Amino acid sequence: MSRAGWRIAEGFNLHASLVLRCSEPVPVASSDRITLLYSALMLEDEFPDFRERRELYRNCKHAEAAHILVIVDAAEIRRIWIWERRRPGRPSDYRESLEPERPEDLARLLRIACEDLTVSGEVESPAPAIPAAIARSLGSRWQAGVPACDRMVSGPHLREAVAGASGPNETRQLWRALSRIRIVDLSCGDGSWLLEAAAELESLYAACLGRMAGWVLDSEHVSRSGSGRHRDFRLLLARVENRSRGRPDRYIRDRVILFNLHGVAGCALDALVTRSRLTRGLAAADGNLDTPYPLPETELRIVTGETHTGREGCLPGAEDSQGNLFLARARECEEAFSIVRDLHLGGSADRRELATAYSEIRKRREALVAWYRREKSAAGGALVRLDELYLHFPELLEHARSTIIRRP
Amino acid sequence: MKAHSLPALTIIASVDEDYPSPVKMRLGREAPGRLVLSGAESLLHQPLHAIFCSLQPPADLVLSAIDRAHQLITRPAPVIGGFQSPVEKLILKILLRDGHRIIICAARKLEGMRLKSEWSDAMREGRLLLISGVERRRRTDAMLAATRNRLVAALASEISIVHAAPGGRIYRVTEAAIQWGIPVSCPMHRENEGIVLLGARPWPPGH
Repeated sequence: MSRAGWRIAEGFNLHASLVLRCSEPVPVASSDRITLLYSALMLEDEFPDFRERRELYRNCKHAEAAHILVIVDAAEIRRIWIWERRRPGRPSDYRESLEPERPEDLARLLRIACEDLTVSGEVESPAPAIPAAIARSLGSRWQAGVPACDRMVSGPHLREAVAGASGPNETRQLWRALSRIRIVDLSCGDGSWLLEAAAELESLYAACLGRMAGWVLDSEHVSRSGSGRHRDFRLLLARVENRSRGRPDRYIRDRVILFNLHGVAGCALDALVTRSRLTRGLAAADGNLDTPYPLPETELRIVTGETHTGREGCLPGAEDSQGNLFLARARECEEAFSIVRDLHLGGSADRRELATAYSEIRKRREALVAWYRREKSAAGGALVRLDELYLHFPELLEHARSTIIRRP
Repeated sequence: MKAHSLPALTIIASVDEDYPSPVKMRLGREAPGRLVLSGAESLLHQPLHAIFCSLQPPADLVLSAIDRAHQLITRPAPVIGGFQSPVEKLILKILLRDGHRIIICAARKLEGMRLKSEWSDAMREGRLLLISGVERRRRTDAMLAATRNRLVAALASEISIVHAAPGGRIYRVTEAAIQWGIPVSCPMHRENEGIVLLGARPWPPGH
């Protein structure tokens, strides 16, 4: 490493690291602006799964500007390198690799990781837009004498504001605001931008659920009749428990995909990649990476189309009965989807029945879009004035204030 | 969404001539002592098609419900229901949008109730009737919902069931309706096998 221009961190002994816990990575070496962090597991620790490794990397991210994290099991057999690929104009992308055995391969891996981490230019991320969208969605209700709101809207403190909401009503409002957020990527490519948004929303949902659990616990301590308070929180927490069998991440990830994410891919391959990455994220939350196909619900959220513009004003007027008919049919599919989504998140629905329902909704929506295209081409675009995006996602019309759109 | 006041209420006592005879005949002593109506009262004296769906139907039946709603629009009979479960609400939306005639049976008293904004067009056009057999309570509970379902079934001349959970409220009302001789139909699904065995007719493919 020293030959590659890296400085070895002093006082670090590789074998002594066996006593370290996974949550305490230590710097091993550093170059100009990149630090190599090392995190070794104890004998009794299970090797962290995809989700935990990513979380660990994200936590380290706050401490260091750019870094590579190496996680090693207690027997020093399994070593995983984690870093992120930063590209100008694109969201950062989480990457990892097993440590190669041969020194030349190791050097190459180090070089690739460094190249990924050292880029110039602005890195695009949806994360900064999310607090502003939440603030817009909350509107004047939050502004009325809630000091946490100012901090929250400023962005960096959003998660802390969610976790430290000073009253149950604030938590309720935040939960609703989170459910109203609509992230729309009109050129989703490999889905990185959507995944970045999903990661941000997941942490906010988790903070909100944690605060709800806190309110329930507080109410039980404060009064004997506390068990009847915060019924909505109790129901939701029971639903999370029921749905995810002790792993709230699965519920949260499902919720983010089913409520918040909308993608339009330019080609079928991009759509497939994005759906597969979302499916993989869900599978990782289950601790099962063997799910071989994109789940049917992701097919409803990531659509293929080249004619979406997402421009405002592409809605039918009052006199445009044909456009209104299309929109009504699209809303019908959306209503059906929202019922199926609630059954899905409720946790008791049969997986095969859900898949059938999602597939049927997708087929109907595709038939509607095909019909719309036929009518539009027959009329030369004169009679039907409706953006195709709204046939896929009519809910966006009702959530304009809390929608974040990334245009091509 | 803005709610409006209900139009004038009409009360029909069980001794009145206007009181629907099937209700007395089918419910007997359980028949409500009075019915409170608001809206297009003439709908009450037509053959009615009732629709029911449980609170948590199998996911793949949601779209069957939409298809059924579209089919009901093509039929002359007004549709009656409680329209309380999510699927029933969706059916109501479709019926309201497509200009069908509807009777909503509330499981609470109508006095003090507000007219939802999405119902106001149908009310103005004379194709919506609100009805209630509840006299005292203002809030809906499970018992009132069960009583309301029996009233809906008693008023109907034909019933469509989207889903009846075995042993649930809709299952029990289906059982009663079949005993009263009302034709009942449902989509083919393993969850509906119980009511098919009771005598419900499966919807034909494509229904």
